[in-house]
Amino acid sequence: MDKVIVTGLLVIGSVTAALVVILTIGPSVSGSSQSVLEAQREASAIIKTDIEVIAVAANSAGTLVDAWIKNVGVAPIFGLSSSDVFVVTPGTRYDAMAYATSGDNTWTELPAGSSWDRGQTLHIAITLPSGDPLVSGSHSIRISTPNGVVAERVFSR
Amino acid sequence: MASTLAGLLILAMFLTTSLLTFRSTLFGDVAVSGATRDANKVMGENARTGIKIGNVDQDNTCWFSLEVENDGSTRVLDAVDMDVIVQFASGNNAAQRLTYVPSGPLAVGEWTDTALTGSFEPGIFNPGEMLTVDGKALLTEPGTATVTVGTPQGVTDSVDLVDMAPCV
Repeated sequence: MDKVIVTGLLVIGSVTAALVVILTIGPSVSGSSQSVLEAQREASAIIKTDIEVIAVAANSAGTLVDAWIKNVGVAPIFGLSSSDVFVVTPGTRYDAMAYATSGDNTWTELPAGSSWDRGQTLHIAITLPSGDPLVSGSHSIRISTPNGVVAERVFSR
Repeated sequence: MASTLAGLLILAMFLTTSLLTFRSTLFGDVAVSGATRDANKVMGENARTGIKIGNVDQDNTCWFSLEVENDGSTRVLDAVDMDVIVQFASGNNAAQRLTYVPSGPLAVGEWTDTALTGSFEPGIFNPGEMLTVDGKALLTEPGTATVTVGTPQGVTDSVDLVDMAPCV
């Protein structure tokens, strides 16, 4: 009788211990494997994304910059407003442009609401302050997609 | 009995953990390898693509005609996906991307492909062939324009056109 009780208690203890181990480790293993999967999916999206700045032109006043950027990757690019645009003049300027249809230090796509599918060329217009226009010389434009793929092109005014 | 049951449970947990890890690794690897394969393919196409602007014709208006040579080692399939961008180094003329039209007569702000040399695969811009690009830029005053022609792969070549003037 004693042996049966001891065996029963041991069974209950072992099962409980095993269940505790499963319940504590299981979710973390599942969570980490999901994280690995998500990270690899994101990596594959980055690999599929590529852009190329085709042409950049500033107006004579140096306050408006037009740029044409081509989607030369495999995937469409979504969330255009989350892209980053920088105007750089070596040594003097490194300005981040905000996404807005008007105002100083802003950029917007033309026409508004343009999509950016594979092979499409996106036209963006950058507005700089009239009090701080591009001076004559070399500048560069730096554009980053929402998933961090960057293209850059030097231009002159 | 107790140790056997516990052992079985631990084994089941081990198998489940392995399965979950293997599944996520496998799915992730498939996604990454597929993306890498696609990106390499496109990168290869881009590397093999080349164009060079040869003869230029213009009549001191907004009209111009360019002979573009495919000096790469792959073909350019869709002219509609090509870019013709006109920009001006000085003056008040605005930079612009011309709109492709399949045939003329051209309006201001449009371009078309008028001729393609070579009889192999008509309509496809194969290596060694010349594509004639006609365009009309929007000018508000006379000026020197830089015309950039780009392939669907983003490979470009540019040429300067002096003495351009608005079309009347």
